[in-house]
Order: sequence, then C-alpha cells, then structure tokens
Amino acid sequence: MTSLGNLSLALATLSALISVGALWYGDRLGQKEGEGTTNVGYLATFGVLVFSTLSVLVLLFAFLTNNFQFEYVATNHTTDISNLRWLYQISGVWAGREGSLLFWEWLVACFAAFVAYKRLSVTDRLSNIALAVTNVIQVFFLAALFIATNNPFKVSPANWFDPTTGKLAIQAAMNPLLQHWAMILHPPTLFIGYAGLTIPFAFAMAALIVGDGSKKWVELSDRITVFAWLFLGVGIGLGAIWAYVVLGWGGYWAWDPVENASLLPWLTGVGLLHSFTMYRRREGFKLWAVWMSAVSFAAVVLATFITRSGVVESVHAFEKDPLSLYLFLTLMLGSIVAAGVGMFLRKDAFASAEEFESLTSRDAAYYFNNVLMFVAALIVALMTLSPALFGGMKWGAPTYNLIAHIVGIVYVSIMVVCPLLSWRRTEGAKFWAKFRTPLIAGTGLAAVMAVLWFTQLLPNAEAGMTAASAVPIDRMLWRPLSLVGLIVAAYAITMPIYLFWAGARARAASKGESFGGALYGIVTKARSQSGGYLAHLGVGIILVGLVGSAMFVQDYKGAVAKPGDTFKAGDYVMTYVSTDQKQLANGDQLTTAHFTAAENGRPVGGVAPAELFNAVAQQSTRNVAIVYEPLRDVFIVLEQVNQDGSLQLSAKVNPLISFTWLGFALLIAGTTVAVWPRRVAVAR
Amino acid sequence: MNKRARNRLIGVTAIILAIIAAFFFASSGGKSGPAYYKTVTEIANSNGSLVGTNVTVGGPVVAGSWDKKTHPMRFSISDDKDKSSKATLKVVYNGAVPNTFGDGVVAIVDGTLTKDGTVEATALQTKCPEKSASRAGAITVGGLLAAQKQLAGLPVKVSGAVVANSLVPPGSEVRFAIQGKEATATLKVKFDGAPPAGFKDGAQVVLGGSLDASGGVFDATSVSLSK
Repeated sequence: MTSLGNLSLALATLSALISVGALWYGDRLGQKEGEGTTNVGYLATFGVLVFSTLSVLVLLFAFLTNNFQFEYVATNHTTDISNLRWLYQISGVWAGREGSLLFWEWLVACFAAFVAYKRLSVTDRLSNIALAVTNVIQVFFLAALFIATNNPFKVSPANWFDPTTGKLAIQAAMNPLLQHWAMILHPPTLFIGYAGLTIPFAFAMAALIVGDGSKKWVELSDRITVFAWLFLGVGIGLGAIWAYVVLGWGGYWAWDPVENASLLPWLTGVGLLHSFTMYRRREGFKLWAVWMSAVSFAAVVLATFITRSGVVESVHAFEKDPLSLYLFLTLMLGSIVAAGVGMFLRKDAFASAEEFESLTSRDAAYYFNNVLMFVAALIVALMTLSPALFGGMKWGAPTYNLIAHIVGIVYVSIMVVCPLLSWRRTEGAKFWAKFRTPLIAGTGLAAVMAVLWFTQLLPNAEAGMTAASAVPIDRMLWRPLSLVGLIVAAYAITMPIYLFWAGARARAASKGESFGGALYGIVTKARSQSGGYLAHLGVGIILVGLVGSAMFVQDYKGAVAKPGDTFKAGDYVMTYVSTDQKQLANGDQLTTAHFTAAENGRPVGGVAPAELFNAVAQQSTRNVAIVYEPLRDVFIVLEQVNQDGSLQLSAKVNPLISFTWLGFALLIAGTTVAVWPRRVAVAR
Repeated sequence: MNKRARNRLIGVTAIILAIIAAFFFASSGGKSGPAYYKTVTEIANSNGSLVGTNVTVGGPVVAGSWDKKTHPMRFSISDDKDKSSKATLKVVYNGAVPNTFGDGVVAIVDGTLTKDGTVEATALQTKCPEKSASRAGAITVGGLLAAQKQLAGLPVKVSGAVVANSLVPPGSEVRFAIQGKEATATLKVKFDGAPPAGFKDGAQVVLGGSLDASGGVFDATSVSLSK
C-alpha cells in the first residue's frame, strides 16, 4: 500500500514534467504546428490530477482501515469513539505535516486541471504558458513530498510494534484538541485558498513571458482569485472560531506565527483583488497586479514555510527540516525575483493606460489600498520572522495591536471615502453633493456609537488596557483610538447601505422598476460591485466587533466551595449548584459544574462549564460555557477542581464580539456574491 | 500621471510609511519592546545581565511546582533544549492559564526578568503537541526488556505492578520499580514528579516515557494508575 502511494506520486511527477515539456515545446513550435504537442501538455495536466488523487485515496483508505504500516497514519490516527470518528479518520489526511502537503498539492492539481479543462478548446499561448508555470510549481510540491520528513507514505519502523502482539507499541495519535468540527474544516478551506493563489501568479508570469499586457490574463484568473481569497478568509475565520471555543483562553487572535502566516496572503490578496478591478475596468495598475500576484503566491509559500518548518518558535509544534526549507525558499524567492525581472523587461507592455491626476481621486484610493495592504503584510511578515532573522527578537501582541489599530482605522477611512471619489480627479462640488446624505446618516450612527462607547465601553477601558497592553503610547491613545475606531466604523457601515439605496433609486427611476426590483437587479447584475459593497459593509461591522472584543475585555477570577456560593463576572452572578463527574465509554472523564446565572438580579438560566480529561492523551481540555448575548459574550471557564471539591473559575466579558462574527459572515457573503458563477462566453 | 500628482503621491506615501514606522518604534521602547528568545540555562548563567529585559523562554513545567489556585500562579520550568542542564527558572504569571497546562507540558512564557531571577510573565502559552500519546498498546515489562535494543529511546507506554518497598522520596535518581505479571523482569523507574493518589505497593500502573539507551532504567514522564 505504501509503495502504491509513492508510485502514484512518482507518476504524478512524471505527468507534471511531461506537461511542462510538452507545453513549452508546443509553444516553441507555434500555435498551428504545436497544437498536437500542446494537447499532450493539457492531457498530462489531467494525468497529474488522476495520480495525485490516487495518492490521496491511498492515504485516506489507510486512515479508514487504521493501517499503521503507514508511519503517518500511526502518528495521526484518531482514538475517538464518538459517532464523529469517521470524520476524524478523514481529517487525519490533513492533520499533520506530510498529509497536509499532499492534500495541498492535490488541490493545486485540481485548480490546474480546472484551467486545463476550461482552456482545452482554445489552447491560447497565455493559457498554455500559465498551465506550464502551474505545473512547474506542482513539480516543486511533488519533489518536496519525496523528502523523507514530508513523505506521507513512509513505512513505520519495525520497532514501533510490540514484538509479541504485533500491536502499535508507541504512543501516538491525533491531538484531542484537533478533534473539533472547526478544526476539521479549517485546514482544507485554508489550503483551497493557498492552492488557488497559484493560478493568478501563473497567469501573471505567462502574461510577462508572452508580453501580453492586455486585460486578458486578468479576466482568465480573476474569478479563481476571488474564489481562493474567499476560502482563505473562511479558513482564517474557522481557525479563529476554533481558538475561541476550544483553546479556552477567551480570545480568537493571538498574533501567533501560524495565525500571522495565514493572514499574509489574505492581506496581499486584498491588494491583488483591487488591482484586478483597476486592471479590468480602467486598464490601470498593471504592474501592481503582476506584483501583488507574485507577492501573494510568495506569501502562500512563506505561510507553509512558517507553519511547517519550525523556523519560528510557535505554539504549533512542527519539526525542523532544512531540505524542504531550501526548496520552499527557492520557490518563494524565485517567484518574487522572476516577477521582478519580468516586470522590468516588460515595463512598456504593462504601462498603465490610466492617468491619475490628483490625490483626491479614486485611483489614489486604490493606490493607498495597495500600499497599506502590502506594507501591513510586510510588517507582519518581518515581525513574525524576526526571531529567525534578527537574533531571537520576538514582538509581542501589544506592538502588533497598536500598528493594527492605526493601519486599520486609516484603511477603513479610505474604504469609506473611495466610492464617493471620481476617477482621475474629484470635483469638490460633486463630492459634497454625493457625500451629503451618507455624511448625515453616518453622523447619526456615529453619535449612537459614541453614546454606546461612553456609557458601555469607557467604564471598562482600564480593564481592557491592563489585559491587553503594556505599551505606554498605546495606553495613551487607547481611549481616543477606540472612539475613532467606532466612529469610522459607523461611516463604513452607512456608506455601503447608502450606495445600495442610491443605486437602487437611480436604477428604479431610469428603468421604471420598483425599488425592490431595482435593488435585486443591482445585486444580481453588477455582482462584483455589489459583492464588494457587501464585503465593505462586513468590514465596517467587523471593526465595531474588534474595538469591543479586543480593547474592552474584562477578566474575572474566583472560586466556589459549596452550593450557594457565588461567582461574579461584571453584572453576572453565577450561583453554584452542583458538580457531576461521569466516565465516558472511552475512559474520558467529564466533570461538569452547574450554575444558575442572573444578570443584574434577573435569572438568565444555567451555565455549565466543564473539564474533559482525555484518558488517551492524559490531557485535560476545558469545555467552556459561553453565554452569547447580542452585545457581548460571557466566557466562563472551569479552571480546576481542587482536591477538597472546591472549584477554581475564571470568566471574560467580551463586548461586541458578535459583531466580529456577523461582519465576517457578511464579508464572506459579499465575496460569494462576487464570485458566483455566471454564464459567460469563453474568452478566445 | 502628471508630475505634480506623482510627487504628491510619493510624498504622501512617504508620510504614511513614516507614521507607521514612528508608531512601531514608539510601541517598542522599554518594557514593551521585543522579547529575546533565551533558554532556561542561558538565563540561569546570565548573572543578572538580563535583569529588566524582556525574554521569551520555554521548557517543561517542573512537576508539582505549581498550584492553579494561587493568583498569581507560580511555577518552574526546566530546560528541554540542553538535556544535561539541571537549571530551572521560576515564573510568576497572573493571566488565564491555558487548557493544556500541567506537569511536563512545555510552557512558553513572555515576561521580564526580575532581580531575584524570576520571570514576571505577561503571556503564557503551552506548546500544542501535534501528536499526542495513546495508552492503547501499553507494553509489558517483559516485552519492553525483550525488545530493549529496538525500543530504547522511543516514547512508549509500559504497564506493570509497583514492586513492594521500592518507592523512595524524590531526589534520588531511581524512584521506584515495576514488574510484570510474570514477576521475573523488573524495571527501575526514574521519575521527578509526584505519584498519583492511590499509588502504593502492588498497584497496577501505566508509565509513559522511554527506556534509556543503557537499558534497565525507564525515564518516566507520566505515571497513572491503570483501571
């Protein structure tokens, strides 16, 4: 079985090499003469998918049958006995380093085959070269899979088995913390995003190689890019949910190197998407689009490198491996250098057709969008890598937070103003005419926010500061920044709603439709624009959530000894009722503490934080109790059951956290609207 | 692009970068500055030169050195990078303790080193193990010793009964011994932590750890009673 896995990997590699060779040679022969050869390249691309699919199936089958001859299966199999066991058996495929690399390669193969399928009837130069570039990248991934530390088809050493019974004697299995629905979905969604960002890079390189500065390459890769970015976002969100619900420390983002790694391509992806918009609509930002494609791809490779190489000390424990390090370093730097050289050589073909004349133009807003996203990604990358690059220096969350506060507020402000600006140059009178209504509406909402800030949040500012920041300048700016953040968010929320409203009114008037019909028409017809507005609305709402749940968190600690004792968290009072302990069928021990809760004296039902002791891992995980309210969460943790039966508790009040999730859902919904397939003729 | 617009664009870009850089440096002075990765041994041997600086240091939590009831919580960590080192480091921490914290778990703390050699931690993370242990398939003492050559150094679980009168107080290398059902093979056990409640002569226990290369002594990282 293990040899079947390696054989199919070898055949996938062979197919990829054949495809690269055929596509390159076919291109040399020319469109007419080379057609037969080029077709071989396309077919071989499907071959890569077939053989890598076979590899994934072999590994999946090994997990389903608990085949411990596979070292990877032995070290990543689940010991769960719940009815979700089959899910954890499947997720074993991407639970560890080797399997996730294979899974990722398989996804790249899927994207490559999708492009090949779409362009098979056209076989234009641009697509041929893009496919060749994609397959060169696949060769890198496949080669990495043959390195011992990455190979999922390694045979377990004989001494791992008990010589008398033949059973697995070493202790190894999937971490119980990973056995959660969000953790099953988080890696695959993230990897779909990572793999998808290969395609815009491949087309950018193809455009440089062919010397075609028209918007064709952007049209061919635009939707895949939005799709990839969407999944990247969903993956990051799922990771945050998992961290919040499972890890039990009360937050969802800790600026951990691995979290940062997934954020990098997402940030550059924002720049990439907006560059694509400029490219498609205004024939501008051409070099930016090429550059952001390359940077996003490099960020994806960097993300693997950070996650899997152990180059940065992280809570995610992965072993070191110099060989894959060089392989990924080559891929990462190679892509940047290749794009840089290509951009230099082709700078005339990729000269922007869009002139921009003033700083108060929409062009300038797009430009600053790119600058801020690129700089933000660069800062996060450098700070994350600094322990490896700059003599063991490590930046703490407060530094990240302060920069994020500043960049975030400036960025969202640009986002608010951008739709009101005109291309090239904005006339003052026109701007004010457009701005009047959203300014009034936004100011109304901002006033509500300010009242909310003053009455609800401000009293807890000191608690939030103490919990989150030791940086003097951050403490100084804490109150004003949080207020400004909420005010900017108010305008950011008002603006897209206004744009939908104004757009629908204008359309209704010109086409004689009803307001509702016109609104529907806008959403369904101008998808990328309305999806964009919806995403912007999501960002505004997220900002409200971030201000509350990152800047005004309150921590509480306490203990109860006997029924009737109380534990207070803000205006919540929890009265201890009882504790029960039960042994689950797989030997795990679940200890649940029951409380009745009252908010300002008004009963709000029971809360039951619990501790689950995993018998296999000899590790306890906390099942936190979260009281979800529209304006805040109360997060209650059973820290410890003492020998004398008393309980140690902690709680956090996370204001406005639901806005983060809601805004995120809208961001995803907006992106989905933009990427939803529509029938279009294949570009020739 | 006309020249004036271009110059302004470059100017504004430079201003934005300068503002970000200013905040970066403003936020990284003094106590809030970057932390430096140090090992427990490096801090122990620093003779006060690191007092007042921010450090990030990690190591296995010394068994029994902590009590989650106390706030701030105090615990010690040892050095897992330099196995020969006996150095430990005291940590004081007042925040939320992660789920996985416990004896032998690698704890990574960020904090400031004080004069008395304690780290006042502002953040505590436990290293999230990619793979975890499984009690299924614990090997017998006889089986382990028979396969001594192949299994030495590998993480295994071994089960057996505590040999009568073999338990000695902490401090000495070998704490107790266990033997298999056949009562022929005996395994000496090295263990730093506190044995679980109910640990007594003849009790059936499961040990996690590894057999050292010389054979004969089992370096236990966990001791639990088997049911």
